[in-house]
Amino acid sequence: MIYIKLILSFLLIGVCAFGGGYAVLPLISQQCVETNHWLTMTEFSDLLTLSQITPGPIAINSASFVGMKVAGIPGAFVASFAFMLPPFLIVSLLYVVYRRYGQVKPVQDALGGLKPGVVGLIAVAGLGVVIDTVWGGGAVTLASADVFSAVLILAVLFVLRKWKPGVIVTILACGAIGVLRELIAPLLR
Amino acid sequence: MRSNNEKPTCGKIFLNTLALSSFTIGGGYVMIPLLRERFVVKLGWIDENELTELTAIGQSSPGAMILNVSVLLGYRLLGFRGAVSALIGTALPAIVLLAATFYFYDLIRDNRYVSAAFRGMNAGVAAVIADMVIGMAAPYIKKEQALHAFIMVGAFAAAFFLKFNVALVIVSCGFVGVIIGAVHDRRKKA
Repeated sequence: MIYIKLILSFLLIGVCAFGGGYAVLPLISQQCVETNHWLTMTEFSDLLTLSQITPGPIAINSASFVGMKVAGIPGAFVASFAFMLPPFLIVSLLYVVYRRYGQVKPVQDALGGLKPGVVGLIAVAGLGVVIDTVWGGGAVTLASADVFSAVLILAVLFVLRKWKPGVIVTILACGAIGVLRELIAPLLR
Repeated sequence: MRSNNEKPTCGKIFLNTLALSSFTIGGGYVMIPLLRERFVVKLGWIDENELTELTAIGQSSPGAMILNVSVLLGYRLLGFRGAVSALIGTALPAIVLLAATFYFYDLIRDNRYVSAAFRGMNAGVAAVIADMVIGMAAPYIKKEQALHAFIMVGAFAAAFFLKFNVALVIVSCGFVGVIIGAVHDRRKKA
């Protein structure tokens, strides 16, 4: 049964998916490309492109893509929920512990260490998006930088610090600026 | 701004996470400022410090960080029912929109305007995350917080330059936090 295979594979990925995001990709490629031959390597890189332009965590996007490919829309849901189940159970357990012991001194100390650590890690993720946007996945050199995107990021950051517009409005406006640039570019040449 | 006396319900948790999750392009980290804006500032259902604690716990669990944080937030607001509502609300856009783009993939992949729009939105996401990092880092840039500032910079360096697994980095941060706390106590007693 294809569904059972999908469920087992994505349960396994869910259990082992420590570190989230891009840390999960080698595991997904191993399960879906090498072990089960659900995807070719080309399809796997298509999947990465698609997950860039769809919202949500890359692991859920991957599960949906593979499920979709193997067993249609039901497959997308089955694979995604199989992936989400183990983390959901573990997080539920952690929440119980947090509720009960969250105010205990060593736990507060541990959280006190985790919080600045999380800030550092979010900075890493943010920098990843910057590099991806300005260099488009290519080599990071001064000459190959997309100056427009770099200036846009800095300008938007300035606007955010100064006027604090809503996050969704900001992101949509940036999308519009991107399209506008593409429309105007041929006229300037 | 915390004038909202609306009470959390399953439906509201579901709809809010669904709406926010639809905008988490470029990886998902942008969900954190989105959650903050909606649940801390607008709805006032949870305070900033608690959301940061839940983010830290979500980050140290397996699976997608933003799903974990949404689930924890759901638990905090409305117990198990809230957690399930948040889980489904957060996951649904990722599944449905991917299934939709799956059919139009060839159209989308080669369309200049679509990729231009996403490049622009990614620039916005980068700026939003940078803005949040500045806001979150500021309290640690003080003399009495030097050790925690060190954790922050250390976590960044370990993940960015040394490419350590994020889970390993986060667990180490927790350990260092416990050690700092213990040393601090001993000094107080002495």
